[in-house]
Amino acid sequence: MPEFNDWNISYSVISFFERALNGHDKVAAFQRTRDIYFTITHVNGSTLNVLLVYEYSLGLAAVLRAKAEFPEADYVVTGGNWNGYTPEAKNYGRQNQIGIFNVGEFFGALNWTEPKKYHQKDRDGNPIYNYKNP
Amino acid sequence: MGTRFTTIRIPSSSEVYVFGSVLHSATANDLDIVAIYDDSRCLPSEAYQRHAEMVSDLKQTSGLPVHLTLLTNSEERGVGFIKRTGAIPIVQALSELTLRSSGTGEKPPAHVELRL
Repeated sequence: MPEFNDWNISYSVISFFERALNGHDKVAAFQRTRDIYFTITHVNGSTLNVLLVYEYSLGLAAVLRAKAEFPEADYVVTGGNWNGYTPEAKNYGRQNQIGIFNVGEFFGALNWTEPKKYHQKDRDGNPIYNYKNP
Repeated sequence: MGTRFTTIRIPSSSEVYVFGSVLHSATANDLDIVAIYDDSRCLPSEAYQRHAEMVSDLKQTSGLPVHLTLLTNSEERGVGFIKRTGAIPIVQALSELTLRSSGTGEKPPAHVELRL
């Protein structure tokens, strides 16, 4: 039984993420440990180490806390498509090879050859980032 | 009966606001708060620790789990969190809200910010 997390992540958020992983055609397998930490095996053979959080606006402090508590994580994903992150958090992730996404983006990123570089695009092809709040 | 007080230990580098369902529902499941902090006085890497006493005080006062969002002043300006969520200052919120507490029906305590 995984340890209970102290990030206030409800089981409904975790179970949604698990169901989505189970249904994603780029996910070969995954394992959940420490309640909210996912080791995902991509069908291309790569491994993604993902910390699932639930931050309305994932800020730099939360990313730094995530790295301190889960130093092996190379993705921090905030549950809820209505949630987002700050430009500072995203930029820190870029500079430190950490993918910062909301959950919808993350499942899109799994379809990219380099998931950490994933971004949505507007009609003109310009990148869109979820710098937003609930 | 004299007035009771509760104390919320808030870092002097921060402004704290309440938002979310607790402002609109008497049966909220948690207390959503955002602390906007000055990162020249509180490093982002230390922000959770610096706000731990405040979270503890709020849990005790409200009887609810506390969901803390931490943003620097710059981050808040960038995403407009307070405006977009309709967040209100913590002392104002605690004064207005009916929060789960002892259930004795007594007059709710006054809330006092203690700046650390």
